[in-house]
Amino acid sequence: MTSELVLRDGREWIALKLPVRALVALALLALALLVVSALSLATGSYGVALGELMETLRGITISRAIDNVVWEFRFPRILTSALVGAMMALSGAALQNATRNGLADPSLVGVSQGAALAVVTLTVLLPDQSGALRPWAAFFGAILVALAVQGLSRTRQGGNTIRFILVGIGLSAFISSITSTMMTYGQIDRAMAALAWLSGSINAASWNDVWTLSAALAVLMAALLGISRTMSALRFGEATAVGLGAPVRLVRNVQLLIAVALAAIATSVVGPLGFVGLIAPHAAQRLAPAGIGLHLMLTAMIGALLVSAADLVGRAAFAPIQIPAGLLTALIGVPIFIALLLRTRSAQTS
Amino acid sequence: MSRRLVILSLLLALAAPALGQETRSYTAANGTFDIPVAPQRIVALNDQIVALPLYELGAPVVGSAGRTDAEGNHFLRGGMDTLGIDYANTGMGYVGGFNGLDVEAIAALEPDLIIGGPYTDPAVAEQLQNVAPTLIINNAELGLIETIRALADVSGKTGNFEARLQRYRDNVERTRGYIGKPEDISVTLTFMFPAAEELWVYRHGGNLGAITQVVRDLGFKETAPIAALPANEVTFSPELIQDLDADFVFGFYRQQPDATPATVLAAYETFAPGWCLALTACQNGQFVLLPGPTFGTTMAGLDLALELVEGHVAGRPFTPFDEGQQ
Amino acid sequence: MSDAVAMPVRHPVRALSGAPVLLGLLVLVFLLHIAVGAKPLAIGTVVDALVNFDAKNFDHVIVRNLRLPRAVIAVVVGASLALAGALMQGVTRNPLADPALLGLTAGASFTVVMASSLLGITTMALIPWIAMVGALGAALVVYVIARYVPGGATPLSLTLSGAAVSAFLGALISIAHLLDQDTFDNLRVWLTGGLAGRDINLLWSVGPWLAVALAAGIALAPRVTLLAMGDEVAQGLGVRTGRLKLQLLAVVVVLTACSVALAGPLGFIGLVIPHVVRLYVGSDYRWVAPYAALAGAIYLLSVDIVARIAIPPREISTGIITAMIGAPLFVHLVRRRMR
Repeated sequence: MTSELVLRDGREWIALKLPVRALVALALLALALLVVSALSLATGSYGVALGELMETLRGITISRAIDNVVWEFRFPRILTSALVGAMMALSGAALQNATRNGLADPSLVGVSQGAALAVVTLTVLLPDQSGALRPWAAFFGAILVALAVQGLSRTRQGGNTIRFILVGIGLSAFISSITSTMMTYGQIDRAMAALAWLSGSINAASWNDVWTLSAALAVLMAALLGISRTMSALRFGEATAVGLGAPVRLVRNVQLLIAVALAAIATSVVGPLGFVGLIAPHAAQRLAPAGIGLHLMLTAMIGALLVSAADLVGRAAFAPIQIPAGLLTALIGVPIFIALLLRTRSAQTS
Repeated sequence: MSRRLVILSLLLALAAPALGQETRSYTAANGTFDIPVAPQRIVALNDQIVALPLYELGAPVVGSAGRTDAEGNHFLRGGMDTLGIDYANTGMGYVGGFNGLDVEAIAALEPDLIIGGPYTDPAVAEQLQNVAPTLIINNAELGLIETIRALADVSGKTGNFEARLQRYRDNVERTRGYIGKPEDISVTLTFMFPAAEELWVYRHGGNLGAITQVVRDLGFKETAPIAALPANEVTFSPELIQDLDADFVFGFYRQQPDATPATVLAAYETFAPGWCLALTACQNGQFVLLPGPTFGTTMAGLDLALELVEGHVAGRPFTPFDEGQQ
Repeated sequence: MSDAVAMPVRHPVRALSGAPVLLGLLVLVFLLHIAVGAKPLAIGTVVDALVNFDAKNFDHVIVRNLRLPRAVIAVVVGASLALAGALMQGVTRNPLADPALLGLTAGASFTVVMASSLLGITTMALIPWIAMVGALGAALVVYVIARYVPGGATPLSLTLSGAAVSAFLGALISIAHLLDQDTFDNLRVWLTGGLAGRDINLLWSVGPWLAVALAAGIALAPRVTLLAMGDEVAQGLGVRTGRLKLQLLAVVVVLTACSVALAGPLGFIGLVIPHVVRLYVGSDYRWVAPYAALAGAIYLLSVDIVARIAIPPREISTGIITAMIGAPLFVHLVRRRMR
C-alpha cells in the first residue's frame, strides 16, 4: 500500500486507516451494486416502462398494479438480496477468521444444512406454525449443527483445518440424509412447500424481511467491527494474538456466534445460499488488501453484489420460470472458488 | 349513533359497486379475507388441483401455475386429458411452477382473486395478498368434494357445482343398486410410475383424487392387510404384493406422457417379477388400469371414475376373492 | 496422516487370516439377505426356492427373483464402490478420496440426467456408457484443478475441488429439473440411490465390465502401494507411473459408472470401507484392495437388509440409509485418524 490516510484519535482503539485503493474499490462495488439494483428494478415479468418507473419512484401512482410491482415486489426483493448477500459474506469472513481456515463457508460447515433440517422438520410436522416459527427454527438448527461441528472437530491441540472441514462435510451429509428422509416420507404437499425454500429463493421477500435483516445486519456488523482489532490480531495467528494480549478464546467464540447468527438469520429468510460466504472474503482480499474493518465492508459489498446479480439472472433468464438464486450463486460461485483455489498458497493446507 | 351507522352502511353499499366490485367476507385456511362476490379474474396457484376444477365450473380463470415439458413448453397437468384445455386454448397465462411462482406475472394479470393450497409457500401467499385476496384452500384436509365446493363457493359458481354434485350422487345411487352389496366387495388402489422404483398403495381414506372418493362413496371394503396399513399412502415392499389381493385391484396410467398401459404394466413386472401370478385378481382379469383423469380432482374425473368402476364391477361377472384362503 | 498411507503391513499372517473371515462373513450376510425380508419365509422354503425352484410358487419367486438379484447387485455395487474408493485413495495419496467426494458420482448422474432430459435417451442399455462419460469427465476436471492448485493434488485440494465440482453439477441438475419436470418424475427415485426395482437385465449387460474392472483393480493393487509412496519412489522401483495411473483411472471410472447405472448415486461406501479395512491390515494395497471389495459388498448387503425390513410393508431408500450410517462412521474416522 503506497498511499494511506491515517486517522486516529488519542486512544489507539478507534484508529482508522484509510487505504485509497480499497476505498476506490468499495466505491466501484457500491456503484456496481447500484447498477444491478437499477437493472433489477427495471426488469421483470410485469412490463413497467422506464418513464412509468421514474414516476412511480417519485411517488406518483400510475396504477395499483405498478405500485405493487415496484414497491411491494421489486424493492423488497432487491434490498433482501443485497442484505442477505452481505450477511452471508460477513458470516464467511468471520467463520474463516475464527477457524483460521480460508475455506470455511456456512454451507461447508453444516450451518445451512442444520437450518434446512430444522425448517423442513417444522414444515412437515407443524405446517400451521411454519410461517411464524421458521426464522427461529432455522436459527437454532444452524446453531446446534455449528456447535456439533465445532465440538467434534476439536482436539486437545486445538482446532485443525482439514478436520474441521471434513467433520463439516460428514455431518452435513448425515443431516442432509435426515432431511431427505423427511422430504421423501413426509406428507407430499408439505414437503413441496418446503422445497421452494430449500433451493434458496428470494422470490417471496417482503418489507418485514427487509426490516428484520437490516436490524440484524446493523447489530451484528457493529459487533464484528467492534471486535475487529482483535480479529486482525487473530489473522496473524493465535500465538501473536495471545502475545498482543487478546482474549483469544472469548473473541473466537463471539466471532463464531456472530458468524452463525448472520448465516442463520439470512438462511431463515431465503433458504440455503451456497458459496457466497466462501468466496466473498477471498475476492475482497484480492481486490484490495485492507485493514480488517474496510476488508469487512468490501466483503459485505461483494456478497451483496453477487446475490443481487444471481437473483436478477435467476428471475429474468427463463422468465416466467424462476431459477432460485441459491442455484445461481453455486453456478457463479464455483468457478470463482476454483479460480481462487488455484491461486491460494498452500500455507493453510498443511 | 345508530342512524349514523345506517347512513354509513347505506353509503358504503352505494359506493361498493362504484368502486368496482361487491365484496364479502370469506374464511380460508390462512385467515379471513374480503373477496369479490363474483370474481372476474382468478389466478390459480396449481393447475391440476385448482385451475381445472375452477375452469370446469365455468369460473373465469385468467392465469395458472403449470408444468414445463422437455421442449420448454408450458402445460396444465391433466388439462388436455381431462377437459381438453391448455394455456393455448383457454387464454390462461402461465405464472410459473406451483413451487416457483412468478409474482410479477401474477400481478400483470391483474387478478381479483388468487387461490392456492398447502403446497403454496406461505411467504409467497402473504406477498400476493398485496395483489388480490389470496386464499389457501387445504385440499388435503377437505377432501375432493369439499375442495371443489369451496372453489365453487369463492368463485360464485355454487349453482353449477351443486347441480353436478347432485347428478354424481344420483349416479352413485344407481351404481350401488347395480352392484348390489358393494360392502362385500374388496378394492385395493395401487400406483406405479414407469420408472418402477416405488409401488404406492392408497387406503380408501387416502387422497388419490376422484377414484378414492368414488370407492368411498360406493362403499367398497378394504381387505384386512390394507386396513392395517400405518398410513393412508405408503410405499410397498414387492415381497408383500400378495397382501394387495382383493376382488378388484386398480392401477393407473397416463400420469405422465410415457405412462402408457404397456409401460406401467412392464413397471409392475420389473418391480415385482411374477406379480400377476401372485395376485388372484390379476389371474382373474380383475386387475384394471384406469386412465389419468380418474385420480384427478375434477367433477369430470369423478364421473369418469364412477362409470369405469361401474362397468368393471357391475357390468360383468367376476370371480370373488376369498380373503381367508390365501 | 501420510503414515497411514505409507505404513507397511506389519502382520502379514494377520492380514492373510482376514480372507477366510471376510469371505465367511460375506457368505453369511448374503444368505441372511436372501433369508429375511418384508415377508417372513421359512428356511425350508428359502432352500427349496434355490434348489427346487417352482415358478408358480410366489414365495419361491420372492427368493429367486426379488431377493437373489438384489443381493447380487448389492454385492457387485458394494464391492465396486469400495474398490474404486481404495484405489483412488492410493493413487491420489488422499485418504479422503471417494467416487462421491471427488465428483465422479455427480458427473455420472449429471450425464445420465442430461441425456434423458435433453436427448430423451432412457434406454437402459445405454445408461452405463453415458454414466462412464460423465464419471471420466468429472474425474479429469477435479484432478486437473487440484493438480494446478499451489501445493499440488493434496488431500485438501482434491476434496475441495471435488466438492466444488459436485456442487456445480448438482446446481445444474436442479436447474434442469426446474426446466423439465416430466423427465424428473422418472429420475426422482433413481437420484436418491437405491436397490429397489432395479432392472436385473442391466446387471447382465454391465456385469462382464464390472468383473473385468474388479479383477484388474485387484491385480494392479500391489503397484498402488508403491505409487502411494510417491511417484519418484515408484519410478525408482521400476513402475511406469503414467501408464499405471491411466489404467487405474480407467478401472475406477468403469467401477463407478457401472455402479451408478445399477444403483444410482450411492455415497460413502467408497470412502468409509477402505478406511475400516486399513485399520486391520495396514496400507499394503495387496490386502487393502481385495478386502475393501469384500467389506464393501458386506456393508451394502447389510444396509440393504435394514432398508428392506426396518418398517414393513414400506421400504426405505437404500441410498438414504447408506449415508445415515456411513456419515457418522466417516466423522468418527476423521476424528480418530486425523489428530
